[in-house]
Formats: sequence, structure tokens, C-alpha cells
Amino acid sequence: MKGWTGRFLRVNLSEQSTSVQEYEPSLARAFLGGRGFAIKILWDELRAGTAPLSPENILVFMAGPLTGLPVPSSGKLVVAAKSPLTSGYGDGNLGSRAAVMLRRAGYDGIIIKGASDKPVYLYIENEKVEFLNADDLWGMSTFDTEKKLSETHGKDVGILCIGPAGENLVLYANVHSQEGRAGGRPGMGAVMGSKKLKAIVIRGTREIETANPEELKRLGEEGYEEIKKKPNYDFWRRQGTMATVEWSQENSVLPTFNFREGEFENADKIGGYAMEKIKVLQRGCPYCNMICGNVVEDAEGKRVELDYENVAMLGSDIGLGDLKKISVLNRLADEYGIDTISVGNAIGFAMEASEKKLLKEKIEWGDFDAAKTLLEDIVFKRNDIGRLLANGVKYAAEKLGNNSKDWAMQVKGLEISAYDCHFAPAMALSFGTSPIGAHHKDAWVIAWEVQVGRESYTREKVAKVIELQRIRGGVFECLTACRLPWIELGFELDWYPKFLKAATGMEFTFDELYRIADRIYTLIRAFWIREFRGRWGREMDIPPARWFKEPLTKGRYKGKTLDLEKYNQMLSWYYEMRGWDERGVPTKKALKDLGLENIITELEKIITLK
Amino acid sequence: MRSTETRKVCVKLLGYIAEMLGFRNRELNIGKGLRVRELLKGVNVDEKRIIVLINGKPANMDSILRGGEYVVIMPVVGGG
Ligand code: SF4
Repeated sequence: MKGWTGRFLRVNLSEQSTSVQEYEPSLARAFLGGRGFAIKILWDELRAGTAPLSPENILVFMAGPLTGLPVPSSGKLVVAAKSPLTSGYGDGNLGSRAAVMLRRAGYDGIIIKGASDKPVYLYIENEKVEFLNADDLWGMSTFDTEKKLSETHGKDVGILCIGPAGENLVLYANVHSQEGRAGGRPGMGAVMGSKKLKAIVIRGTREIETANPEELKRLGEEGYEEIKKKPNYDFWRRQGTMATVEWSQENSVLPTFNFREGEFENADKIGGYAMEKIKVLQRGCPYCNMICGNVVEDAEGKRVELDYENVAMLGSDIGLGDLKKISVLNRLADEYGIDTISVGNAIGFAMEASEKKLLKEKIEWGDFDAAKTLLEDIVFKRNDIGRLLANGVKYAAEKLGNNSKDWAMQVKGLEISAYDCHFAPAMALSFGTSPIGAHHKDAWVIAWEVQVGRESYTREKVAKVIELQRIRGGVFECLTACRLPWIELGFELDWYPKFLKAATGMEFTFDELYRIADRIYTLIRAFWIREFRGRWGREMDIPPARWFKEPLTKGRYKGKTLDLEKYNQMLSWYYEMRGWDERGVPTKKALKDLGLENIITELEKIITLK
Repeated sequence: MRSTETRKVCVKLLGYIAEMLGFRNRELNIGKGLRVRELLKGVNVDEKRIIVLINGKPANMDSILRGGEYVVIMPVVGGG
């Protein structure tokens, strides 16, 4: 095989053993890489009902056929496992030198089983794999861990690690790299912590073999040039995703006060222009010329990388309008290795619960000191409220009762990312049907929806959600490359089959790529159903009641809510277009059409398929 | 029907479009009327990736401004 290394590294932490698997080329053709490989392995090898924080859970890191090659923004990988937060399929991507190093070491992925009884980290150098003692790293922040590990192993390694949140099994702890690159929102860091795996250090010194290296180099150079010529390239380099604060405010989708409102009175103090005033540095992922990591100095004089999601969730959503203070919360979340979106949600939820007198603690909107304390309560689970919120807002709402589930802003247990959907039905459907729970990475349809009109609930909108899921959640998550050149700058999709051809020697049409994406979505859906058994139902795909029942009270869209009946109509169309039945369960025909007939027998042990 | 010859619109520009035209918010005279496209004359924008809202409703580059409108022109950018 060319383009793919054709090899996975298998690691058993209980036995401290490793092996190399040469996988079948047919796997690459059917699942491409990244997320595709991840779900295929989890479906095939994870016993249904496995406790997510037990040694039996499987943690996978997967790259794809473009990872680490000299084409735009290819320094990404996917981390996946059964999620302790949602009990379903969980994954996330992050940009890291480790992605490049993994491939140069000769692997497309690492599959980790078992658990160590003492803290360890893995050191991988091509064929050599070592289990090293991590006693002195345990308890360290992600920043310090990386610093220490690069002192030990040199600067030319790739590092993935967890912070105290992962060690303490906070259910939305994630995996970190390079001071601020993070992935695996649904608790991939907690899974790593449960295995007592503090870090993975990779040094790869080989060439990644490709079908046509000259052509790939030429195409890559052209691609980078093309990106630089895009009209918003310069501005993107200045503000990156931070420009979205102003955009969301203008469109009334900036989450404010735990998604009660879509406009925040201090939006201009936390947006891209405010960020530019305190920016000290810019950095990015490997092989990227868009480098969107804007590093600022926070209120405590320390450095942190900001982006839109973090700032909205730790800013407007908790009523905090001071960017330097938001930056402190962002940095702490990164140092502790906890997901910024979920922890922002958790703090917002607590503020609202406090206001409604469901909590004895007094935590007011916009109270920075209280938010900071709460964040640490959660990371260290050092009191009742910390322990409550460390399990996510769905769990917290179940404990608090009093209809708090209506405003626990999550879908399938994963907290919603930073777009308010009171008046954005397609975006609501996107959150509803995202295969890991509410996240924007799959179908970020909001911009398109603003363009075509917000009011309507149409088949066209549903089709657009699916199209975006195919491209973003399917193709980019498998390649694995960053989607931002395409979505932010308009770098045309046609480049990618060309890159793939030069890398692998194989032709991929978009029809074929979308079929792969549909196969992956359907297999992920099957995974959820297998885990949830009788508890699965279409309510799993419906966002929280707040958006349906509590109208916006401010701004130009005052009075707007989602319409539940019409949302359900869109959801039915969604199922129909995907070949799933009214329960959201794939039909036998859909499974056969996608080449997944071999899972029918297993699924039928749990649920009758139509 | 308006009789005045100096009609005005409020224009708000977001992202790189604001940088290219050199303002973020402005009240503009539009003479007797103007196509949105003319507001962007001479600047390099990617038309397929521009969102135009007039009084909060979706519009496009060919929409005609007649005075009194609030126009927002923004790129398809995001925290995508
Ligand atoms: S655009 Fe940003 S997130 Fe994407 S690869 Fe580049 S630096 Fe990383």
C-alpha cells in the first residue's frame, strides 16, 4: 500500500506488550482512515456494555492517508473510545506533531487496550516501543508534562498527554498537545487516565511512502499558494476563529447566559478586535499555513491560545465580558486538560441553578472568581458541586431534578458547542444528529442557514446537514486533514481527491467518498444502538427543551423558539434520507447498500430491524 | 414612494470585508438606489462566500437598496 503505512501499533497496557498489525488494504478502501478506522475497530473489538473507564475499553489514535504529508493542514489525528460521558461512540481530532510522527514511525494508528496499575507513558521510536514510568509526571499540567517530556526526549518528538482532569476521571477531560491543541471532548482524556496512561511520545524518522511523491509535492505547493491567494487569508491570520464572536452576535447565535439568549451586551469586548489588542504570538498545527492559534496574555500574565468556541463558552455563555479573564479560564482548562466547551456549559448550568436556588452555593453570572474556583472544584472533584459537575450537565440535571434537564444544554450527554439555535432549525438538527453528541464539527450548517433563511424547516435544509456531515464528519475526519482551509477560506474540495490520488495511487470520486462517510455514520449509529439496547429512541436526537419552550427575550429575534413538531418532521426526513427507520435505526436495506450486511445479525440480537 | 434624492442606508460589514472597505459601520448615501454589488465595487471578495442580509432577511449581491435599509454583508466564516 502507498499513502497508508498499512500498519497499526497494538498496545496492551495490562501486560505491557505490543505488536504490529498489518491490516488488509480493503479496510483502507472501505473506511479511509481516522474516524473510519476508529469506529470499525471499536465496533469489531469492543464488547457491548463495556464500562468506559474499565481496562476493557479501547482507546484508539488514528491518522489517515493524508496525515503528515506535505499538503495543506494535514497534521491532525483522531482519538476515539467508548465515551464515559455519553456511553456512546466518542471521538475528536487534534492537530499535533504527534500525528506526523506517528506516520513517520510507520503507523496509521495506535490501538490501546488494558490498563496499567501505575502511571506510565509510551515512548515510540519507529519499531521501538517502551513503557516508561510516569510517577513524576502524574499530577502535572499538560503544559508542564510536555515541557518535561521534551527535555527528556528532545524537541523533535510529538507528544499527546492528559492533565489532572484526565487523571481524576472528569468525564469531559480531553487529550492535549502543544499547549492548547485539544481533542476528544467526550472524555477521551478520562479514558486515557483510567488506563493510567499519562502521555504518548513519538519520534518517527522514516519517509511516509506515497504513490507519486513528486506530484504530491507539486500539488501541495500549489495548494498552499492557492490558500494564500484567498481574499480572507490575511484577515484569517489576524483573527482566526475569533472573528466569529462578532459574526455570531450579529446573527443572534452567540450563546449567552447558558443558551438563554443569542446576543451578549459585551460581545465587542470579547471578539476578534479585542483579542488583537492582547495578542502576543501566533502558532498552529503542523503543515498548516493558516496557523489559527492566537496566543494572548491573560489577566494573570500567562500565555494562552484563544479561539471562538472557548471564548463564547467561557465568556458570553457564563456572562463574563472581560477577555483577559476569559483567557485565564481558557488557560486553566488547557493546563488541566479539560474540555473548554463542556466546562463552560457546566459553569453556566451551575450559575443558572444557583439563580434558581437549586444549589446552595451562590454563583452569579459573570463572576470570574466563582467561575475559576468552580473550574478547579470540577477538575479536582474536591467538593460536592465539583463532583456533580464533573459528570457533565446531563448527569447534574438528573441529580438536581426540577426540570433542570430542560436547560442542561446537551444532546446525547455531550454539551452543546457555541451556537445558539432558538432560531436556527438546521443547526439544531446538526447538533441533534451529530454522531458524538452535540458538537459543531460534523455539520456546521449555521452560515449556510443564515444565507438561505432561518425561518423554514425544509427538506433542503436536512439534505444540507447530511451533505456537510459527509464532507466534514466523513471525509475530513478520515483523511485526516483540517477542514478549515475549505470552510473558512474556500479552498476547493476538488483538491482532496487529487491529493489522495498522488498519495495512494487510487482514484476516489466524491460519490465514493460520500458512501464511505455514510457507511461510517451508519456504523457509528449501530454502535450507539448496541450500547443503549432498549433505551435507544429518537428522543436521543432532540436538543434540549429550552430552545423549544423558552423564547429569546432580547435582540432582533426576540420571541423566537424552535418548533418541536417541525423539528420532528425534519428529523424524520433526516432518517429517511439516511435509510434509517422512524426510531433512527438503520434499516436492513441501508446496511446492505453500504456494505454493512455483516453487522445485521449482531444488531438483530438487540433490536428488530426493518 | 420617497421623493428625497439623497437616500441613505446603514451598512455593517464583518470580517475581512470590513478591512477591505475600511469601515465596519457606516451610513451611506445611495443616490436613487443601488445594487448591493456596487457597494463592494473594486474589492476582491469571493461572491459565492458572501452573506447579505437586508433588514435581517436573506438577500444577495443583486438585491437593490432603495433607502432606509439596514444591510449586513459578511463572509461565510466561522468558528467552523
Ligand atoms: S487551520 Fe488552525 S486548526 Fe486547522 S490545521 Fe491550521 S492551525 Fe490547525
